[in-house]
Amino acid sequence: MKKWSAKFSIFTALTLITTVLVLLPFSNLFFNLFNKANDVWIHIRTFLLFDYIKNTVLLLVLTGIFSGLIGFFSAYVVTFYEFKYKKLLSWLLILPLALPSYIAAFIYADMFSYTGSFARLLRAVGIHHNFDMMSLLGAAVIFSFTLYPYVYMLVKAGLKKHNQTLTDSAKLLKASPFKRFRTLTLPLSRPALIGGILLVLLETLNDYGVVRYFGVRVFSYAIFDAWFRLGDLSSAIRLSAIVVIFVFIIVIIEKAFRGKKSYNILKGHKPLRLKHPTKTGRIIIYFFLISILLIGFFIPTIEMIFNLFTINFTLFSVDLIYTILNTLIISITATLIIIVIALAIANFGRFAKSKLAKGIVKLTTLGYSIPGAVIAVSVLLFFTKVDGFLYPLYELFDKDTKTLVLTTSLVMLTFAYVLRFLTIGFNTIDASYEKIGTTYTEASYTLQKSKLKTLFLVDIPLIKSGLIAAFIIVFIDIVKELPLTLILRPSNYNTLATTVFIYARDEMIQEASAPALILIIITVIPIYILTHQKRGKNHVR
Amino acid sequence: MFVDIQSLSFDYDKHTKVLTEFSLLIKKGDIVALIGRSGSGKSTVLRLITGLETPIKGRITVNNKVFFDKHTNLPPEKRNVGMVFQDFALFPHMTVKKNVAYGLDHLSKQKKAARVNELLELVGLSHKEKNYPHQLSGGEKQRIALARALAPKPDMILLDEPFSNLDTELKDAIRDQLKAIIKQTGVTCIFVTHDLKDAKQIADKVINHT
Repeated sequence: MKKWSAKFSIFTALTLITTVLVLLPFSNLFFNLFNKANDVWIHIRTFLLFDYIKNTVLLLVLTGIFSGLIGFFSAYVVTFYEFKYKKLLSWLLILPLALPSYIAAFIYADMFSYTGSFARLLRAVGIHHNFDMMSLLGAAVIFSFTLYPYVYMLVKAGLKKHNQTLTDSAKLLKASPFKRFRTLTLPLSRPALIGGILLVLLETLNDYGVVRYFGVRVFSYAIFDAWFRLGDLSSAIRLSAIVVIFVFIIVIIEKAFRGKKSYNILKGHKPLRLKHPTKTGRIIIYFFLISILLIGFFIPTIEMIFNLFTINFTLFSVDLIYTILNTLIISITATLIIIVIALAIANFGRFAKSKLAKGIVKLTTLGYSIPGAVIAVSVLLFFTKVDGFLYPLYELFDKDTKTLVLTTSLVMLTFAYVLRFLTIGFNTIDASYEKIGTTYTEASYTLQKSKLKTLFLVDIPLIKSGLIAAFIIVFIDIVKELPLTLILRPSNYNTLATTVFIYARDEMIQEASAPALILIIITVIPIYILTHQKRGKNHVR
Repeated sequence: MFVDIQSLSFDYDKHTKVLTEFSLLIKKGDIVALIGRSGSGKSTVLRLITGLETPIKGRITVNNKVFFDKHTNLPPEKRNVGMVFQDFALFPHMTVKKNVAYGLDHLSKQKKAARVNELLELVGLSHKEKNYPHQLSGGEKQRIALARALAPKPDMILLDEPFSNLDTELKDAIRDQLKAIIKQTGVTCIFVTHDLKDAKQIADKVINHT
């Protein structure tokens, strides 16, 4: 038996294939950068680029600050204070994740328009001021209230690990509550806070629905604009490259802010002593949390339900049923593919020792930091080339074949989903593997079981809850996904996300409500399952 | 020699040499203790023998079968070497019976059941067959891990710090039991420890690995 065979497995093979498939579209994009600049690009560079950069930076800064504040303080309150309905509220605070930012944007823009419900209410009470929701500030507010759960969840998980002994020591050293907050709570939660804000910013950069609808000229808007309105793919590619630079800058800033310190939690963890707020304190807490929930989830949802009654809309038309089926089928298929690949990469990565192998794992999970518009450009370019390459093969089967077979099929869209969401699936599965360690797997190998058998008999049963979590998180993201689906879907193929967007774009907000509500229901159910998942009695200790 | 390890070297990276030119010869049926400070690479020797790590050079032969040399590197599942891990690594989602039967796929259902019973009797835990690992004491876990490793009749068995997770009182009681079980099966054994008392009481031969 040759020396390499002990190391080579189906996991290695799948990881290497994935690496190639991830790298090819991005490298293709990179090489296209060196094409000669045309007039459109010169026009963009001279007149528009500065605005794109300025707007993008401003949007990211505002969204980062707002979402950071909302996410951090909501997590702080539910972790350190004891009050009635805390359990329910701490679950409800995750719900805005089920509401895609673009849906919130359509609804709020409609409510704040001159004839909208909120504007009419204000006029009725004598306030004649007109709030301009469809602006950069409006977009930042929408993103902050719909994306803050990323910060909330990470900070809450971080705060829960805080040790009471630290607070007690600080108290004995006569530190005031504010000093304790400033010198203990805040610095200890910094990695989680910054990590959460990073996710919010990546989602903001990825968005197309909100900025397109509000007319905020940021990069994802610019890429679509260059590509579809100005008809110039090469400018779209150049803009994409600048976005990638943006992403790298954000990631570097995140690393710098997070610092090199790693905070080890003291062993012998003493549970936190919860504070009991005064009556005024309770009122402030309820007001704060309920306001977030109303703005981030309930007001838009209730408005959509009202919309349904206003227009007497049939909730389930035949078209809508097809759209739901399309959404479920492609989301489940892409999620399953992602889980299988992520499982293989995680298995490859956990036993990888060399820097090269670790680098390969990092490369395969690049996608999530790359905005959807950029992935769309890369994937479309790549598939056009693949189709060109495979054309002789197509001709063998059908003499009158069209040139673009894969490019006009769902294969391309599924591929793009895998590219973008593989990171999320991988990270969740990898975290589960980290919890169980490697000894169970190694024990199985020494008991004469192959890698594949070990995967099914030992690994999968032990990381089952992690796998379910990965499935749910990826599934929710794909159901909500808009920019990739909008560009790469075959003609006449719609998902709930694209249907909502198209109705809203055509100023048919009421008609958009039914698919939007169904989309929310489809995402709320898995979020409920995920947050209420019980651990089995034989879980790993 | 039954176990023949020659000039084995291993490192995790260029700067950390874990094992350099390590050689070891063991006769069939011997119990050998590998003793040394923590971090001296003694557990690595076991991982290299099982195939869980790959040496950078050297040669490992057990029962005339080449596990590793310039041209060969058998995967762990093809080496027929049993191992008892430091934390026992009993599969938490399987009962004791299923844990012990895990490596017996090559046997028929009846033969498998008979072998499991035989092993559980050998370690004195037949009455625990329906229990899950978290329902066992530390000493019981260790004996089940040993039964599981012995079940497929391995050419040799490796024990990584078998007493490190046990209380001192339990440890004294279990040492003799462990030796008796291993001797009864006649299997060749290497065990790693940092405690000279363990080594002297159980092993036929003690090797100081520093």
